[in-house]
Amino acid sequence: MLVLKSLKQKFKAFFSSFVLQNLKILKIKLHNTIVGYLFLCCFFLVVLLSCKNDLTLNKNKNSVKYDSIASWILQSKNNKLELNSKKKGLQKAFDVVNTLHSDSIKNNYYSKIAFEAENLNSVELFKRVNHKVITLSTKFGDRLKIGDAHWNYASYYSKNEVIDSAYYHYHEAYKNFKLIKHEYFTAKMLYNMGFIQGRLKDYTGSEVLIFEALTIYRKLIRNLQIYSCYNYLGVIYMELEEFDKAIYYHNKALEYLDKVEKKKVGLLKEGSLSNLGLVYQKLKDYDKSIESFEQALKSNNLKSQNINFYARLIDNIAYTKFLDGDSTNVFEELNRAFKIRDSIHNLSGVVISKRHLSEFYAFKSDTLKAVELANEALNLANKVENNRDKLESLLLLSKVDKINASKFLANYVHLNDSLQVEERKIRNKFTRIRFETDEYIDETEKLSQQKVLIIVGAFLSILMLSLTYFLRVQRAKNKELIFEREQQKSNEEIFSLMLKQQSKLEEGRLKERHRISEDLHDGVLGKIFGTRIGLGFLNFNGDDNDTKKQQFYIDELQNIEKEIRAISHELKSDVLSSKVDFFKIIENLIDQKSALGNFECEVNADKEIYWDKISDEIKINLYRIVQEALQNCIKYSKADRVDIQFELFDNNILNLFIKDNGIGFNINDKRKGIGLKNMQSRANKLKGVFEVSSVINKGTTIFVSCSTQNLRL
Amino acid sequence: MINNYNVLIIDDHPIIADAYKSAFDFIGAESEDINFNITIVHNSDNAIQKIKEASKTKGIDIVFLDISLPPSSDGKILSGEDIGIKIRQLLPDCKIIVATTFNDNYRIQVILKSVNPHGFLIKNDVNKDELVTSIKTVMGDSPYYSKSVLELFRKQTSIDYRLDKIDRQLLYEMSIGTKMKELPNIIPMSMAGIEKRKKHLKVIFDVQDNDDRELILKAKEKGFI
Repeated sequence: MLVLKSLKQKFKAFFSSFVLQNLKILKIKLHNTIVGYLFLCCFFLVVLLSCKNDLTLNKNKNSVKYDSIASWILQSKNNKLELNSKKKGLQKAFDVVNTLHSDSIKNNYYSKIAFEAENLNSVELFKRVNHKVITLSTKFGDRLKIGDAHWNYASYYSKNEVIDSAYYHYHEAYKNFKLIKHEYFTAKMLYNMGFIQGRLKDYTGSEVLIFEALTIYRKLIRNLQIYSCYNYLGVIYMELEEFDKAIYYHNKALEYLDKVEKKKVGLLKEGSLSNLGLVYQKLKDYDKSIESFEQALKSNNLKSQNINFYARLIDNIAYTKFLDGDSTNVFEELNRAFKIRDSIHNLSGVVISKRHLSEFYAFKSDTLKAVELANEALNLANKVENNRDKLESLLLLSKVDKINASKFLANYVHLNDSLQVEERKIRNKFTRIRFETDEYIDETEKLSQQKVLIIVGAFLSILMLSLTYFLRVQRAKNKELIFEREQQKSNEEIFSLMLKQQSKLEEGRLKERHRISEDLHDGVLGKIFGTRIGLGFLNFNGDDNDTKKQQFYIDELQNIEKEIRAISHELKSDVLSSKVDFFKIIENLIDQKSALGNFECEVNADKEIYWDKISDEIKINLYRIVQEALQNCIKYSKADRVDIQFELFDNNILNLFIKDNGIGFNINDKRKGIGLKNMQSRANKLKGVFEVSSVINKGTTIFVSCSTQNLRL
Repeated sequence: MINNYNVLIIDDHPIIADAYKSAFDFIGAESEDINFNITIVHNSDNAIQKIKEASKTKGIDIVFLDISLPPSSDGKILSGEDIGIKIRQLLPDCKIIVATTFNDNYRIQVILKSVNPHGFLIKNDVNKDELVTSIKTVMGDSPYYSKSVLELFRKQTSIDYRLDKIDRQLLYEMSIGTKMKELPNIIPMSMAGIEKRKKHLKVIFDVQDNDDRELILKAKEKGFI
């Protein structure tokens, strides 16, 4: 039992350092890519800036500074250099960065320097720079950088075994990464926190965190990280003594390891096999345990790659054999492991080796030797202040040293209790940290939810408002359209009224002429006739001369009758004139406009045009076109003569020419006046052709042509 | 032996009636064996009354008839034309001399047909001598037409196509400016029928399809209106 416990301690020590190391490697790799990217950005920035001719001196200086910072940081990463010169390089980089003006650029560099400083164990520089990063990032609200800085702190503290501080910073980093939804980093922080909780024997809490991380990794398909999670789960279940699960998870870990790139694997497989071996050892399945260990040992160059691990494997195989009751070569192998460990000053390894050897001597009943080795192990554990080793050694001593057994046991119990109290305290602290963080995250989420609600609300109300506005505009447009249509209608009504009035007027005039004609014809003519005949029968009894004169006057009266008759006929025959209605209206219009515009205007129409037969629509639009054209003449043309001509072509094509001798205008000028547009649209309504030609200082001709057939009523 | 002639002069203008009377007096003074009993009426009511009276007693030998008379008070007689028709009915032997200021061919033709007068005088053509001649001619049982009427006859006989009453009426209505829309109220035909006739008339007179003016001018020239 004693031997078992010590073995457990030994393994744990190995494993924690192993995983930590791996984590660190991953982080470095990650940072390298980020740094590379930033470099590229800087480079482009520099190139861009240097391309500009009007570069200020200040900018030039800055680019020089960027170069020097980059080279200092590069120096700090150069593995060929001494640690000290690396540190110096970093310090210099820091000094130059301090002289920069832009806080955001400064912050970028600080972040890099902090990371490198932590790597180089340059404690003072690291603390200073990292603090700056947190202050600046908080100022900018850059949560990624804040998280990063906390991560750096956490790494630093966990390296220095200040577990509670490490946990706190992992948590802060987790909080920030989670808020910006950086899932990969969030998962990493979860794993680290789980790992620390596992170390403090809060296995269930650890398990929860690791599973959380695992879910995220699986989503992101990060095989290496998935492996780490499974591997750690295997370790946790071993501690919880659920060995079946432990074996299951270790196998799973190995399975995922196969999917990982070869160069990233390193000694992970051997580590897992070794862990598996320990589980089998616990299960007392010694054959399988040894098989696993030996499989791990088979790896090439293990001795040169990690001699500690090599020694541990040898020790484990021997110890397992010893537990199996097979003592062949056991002592020699234990001794060999011990010697290797001793030669490389692996103190915790030496403690374990001494304990194992002590157990072996105790088994061989060499109590003296066993007690001596156990004591040595205890002293060494005290020296390195490894509590677990202390405990294990005390427990061993209480078993081997029968005389002082009770004293050691009491010591053991006391130490164990105090450790447990300590651990519980820290665990409580963690719970508190987590609780606070959860609260913080909840609140932030609530706030962001509110923000979303506000944004959605604002968006909706804007949408509503714009919709209402749109509807209003639409309605106004509709109204306008209806109004326009009504106006059009009333326009046409007015025109037809005009026509009607014109024809009424004409009719009245005609009637009047008829009346006059009739009066002349029937009344006046008749009376003259009567008078003439009457005169003819009068006998004056005068001489021949008088009779002749009488006859002359009578004939003259007959001539007067003829004239009156002719006048009467003329008055009637005007009925046949085609100059009626529409043409009259046009003439009236022209009279008005020509008086306004002070120009002469003549209008002609082919005699073949029968306006009665042409639809009102055509007449209205032609009238409006003439009106518009004359308006233009008045306003712009400065013409003193306008000719209007209506022509009938092929009996169904009506052509209208309006020609002035004014100043003309540039037809190519795209800014068509509203007048021209109106005429165009009117012509379009008639499905007709509309053309304008104009010569500067010569005049303008408007031509409209439409068919009278299509629109005929 | 003295021949007594009963004469009725119908004209709403006293001055004209007087002139006719002078003409008869002139003839009466020329030959001693002719004596005229002249009656003058100035409106259609009196004219009808006289005709009715005469038809029952001595009769009337010669009537001088003006066409443009105001209508009678009962509205049955619209013009001299109607009186002429009445005379033809009541006094078949009476000789009618129509005197009118109309010289439009359509009216002349209509009157010629309905009244069938012995003499037809267009007032403008007539002077003292012609008036006397016309009375004498009619008294001698020959018809007398003044020169405008003769001119019309000449024109008509030179045309080889015939127009019926409706054609003529249509042309006449068109010539006085009656609207196409109102025509069916005047001519007992449908609008389509009228249009068809009009088209046909245009073919006859050889004018463009839509040229009503030309048609009327042509018809006038040919003496139809």
